[in-house]
Amino acid sequence: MAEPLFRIRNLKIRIQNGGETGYPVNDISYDLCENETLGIVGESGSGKSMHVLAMLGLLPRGLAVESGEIVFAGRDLLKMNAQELRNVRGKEIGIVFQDPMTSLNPVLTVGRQISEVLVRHKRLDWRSARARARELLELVGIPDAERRMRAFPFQFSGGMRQRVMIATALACEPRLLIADEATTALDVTIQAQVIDLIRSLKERFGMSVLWITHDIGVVAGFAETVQVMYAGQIMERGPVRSVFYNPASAYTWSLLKSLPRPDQVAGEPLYQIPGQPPNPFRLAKGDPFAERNPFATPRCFEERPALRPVGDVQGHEVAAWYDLKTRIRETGGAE
Amino acid sequence: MTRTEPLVRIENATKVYESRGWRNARPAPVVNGVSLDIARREIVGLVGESGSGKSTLGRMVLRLETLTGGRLWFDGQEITNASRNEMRPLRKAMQVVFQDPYAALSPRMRVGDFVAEPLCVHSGRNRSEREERVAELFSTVGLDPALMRRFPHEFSGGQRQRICIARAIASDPSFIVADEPITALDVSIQAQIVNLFKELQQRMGLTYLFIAHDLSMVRYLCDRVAVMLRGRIVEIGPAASVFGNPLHPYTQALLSAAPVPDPDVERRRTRLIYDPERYPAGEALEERAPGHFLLV
Repeated sequence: MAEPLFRIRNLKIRIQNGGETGYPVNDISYDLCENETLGIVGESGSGKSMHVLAMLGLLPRGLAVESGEIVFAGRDLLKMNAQELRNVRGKEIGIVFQDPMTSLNPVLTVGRQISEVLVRHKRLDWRSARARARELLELVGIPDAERRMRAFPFQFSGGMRQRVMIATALACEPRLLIADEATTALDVTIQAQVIDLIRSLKERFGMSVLWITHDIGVVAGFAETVQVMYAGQIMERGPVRSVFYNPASAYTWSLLKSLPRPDQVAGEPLYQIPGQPPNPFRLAKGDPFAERNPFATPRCFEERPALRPVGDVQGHEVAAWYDLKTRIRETGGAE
Repeated sequence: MTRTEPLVRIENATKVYESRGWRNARPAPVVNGVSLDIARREIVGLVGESGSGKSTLGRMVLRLETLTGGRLWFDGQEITNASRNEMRPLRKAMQVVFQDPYAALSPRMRVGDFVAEPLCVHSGRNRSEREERVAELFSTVGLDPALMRRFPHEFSGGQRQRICIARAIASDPSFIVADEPITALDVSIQAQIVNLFKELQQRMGLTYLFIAHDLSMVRYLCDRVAVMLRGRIVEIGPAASVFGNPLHPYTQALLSAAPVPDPDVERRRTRLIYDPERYPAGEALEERAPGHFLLV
């Protein structure tokens, strides 16, 4: 395996609300290698977006990093001041968020916004920045780039705006591209185009990609490694085929099973995960999924499991006390 | 009136929003000559990209939007130009569930009162009868009736959608338009809500127009599916037929782009591109397989 590009160790993020304290990110550790495409799946409150905001120094008010480190290319991002972080963001780490309308400045032309990144981070003069911005718009497949440079964000469709965001994120040829629900608001046909685009740009620039989504299908096609998060913790991670075909966490298993299959018999109800998503202020002391898990063992309710290897698949890890296959056999499946 | 007559019939319906600006003198129709029959107890899925007119069509069949052109019937009665007063008795029978259960609930209203509101409007029950009925509705949608007196902020997204569904079925409707009802929910909750829709349909004999962009859920839940593109239905037929053998190039592109949670399938996928320039707009729906129509 290649050297890790960044390394997160024991990251814990605290939220304070009145007298209550919650942990939306609760002690996570993982590495991302050079050139790796990591898909992080999780629902709202899983911590998937929150830990990335911490990494970028963009945590909203009321949230703070309590402990841990995020080492990116040898430097701890959590120890950097605002100025140093600004130099990393946009230059070494490109970011694409879900909503391109709120991420772009409505009163500046698209050409100006991309050029600005280049002037700021690459110290280009405005004329060469403009030329480069035009190339970037062509690269992300925006037709008639010269004319579109002078257009404002509202004059673009959702898919085209997301392309503009990608062009902006790629302007400085970052080593890491973070896409946080970047295609969630797009129609499926446009989503497929944007994913293809990022895949080809990744090969071209040789960057790492961190793809955050709640859509398991998107990750299946795109990621090399998948990481499943729940209640601020990593439940399972590993090579995408191993995790999808051989899930070891009951949460991963439940999510996959709750999706309708094309051959599903009409009238047969979908497998439904019981209960409600976790409340970060009322986390159980054990495995956070235990109370919704039909295969939970008494120990699951008492003690939080750490990640352990699954079988002999390199890099496949699960946080669980039980062996899922054994439990499914013992309990006769979940119905 | 016979039982075989459709519950909802919309014929050649068109919706044009008049533009107030001076630039666009002739705005394009949002819904353009759509005809659709929905049989009793049928679940019809409506899919298509954003801006294709599917939500507008959903609002039109409820007469929440007036029709610019075409005609609309509900339960055998023409309501194309029905007045507010004429619509009132029918409102009981047609309900709607929206995408965002956070926006749909009033934050200052107890959820029990929210569910009871249609009962106050549409029935002569007194207070204690209403409360009894609300408790019953809560149980029906899988919520503890003891939660009636709580406020919306105490509920998760999935529970809120259950509350919205309880309100929608409170007046004992025959027809529900569900506009992206699971899109905003957590993945682990979506199956719960889809199962609830299915169960209520079977128990109460409901008819749904289910607007969604999650194709796998539409395939699972719906009897028939209609594909909309730029204000028109380009393909409609039994779900198994449309998904198994899509005929319109746009439907083919849509299906080929939908992500599947299976790495091997995903890696083998060939994506089809729909290029509107290459295909004529189409004139009329033509039956290509039993009940399966294509716009040609």
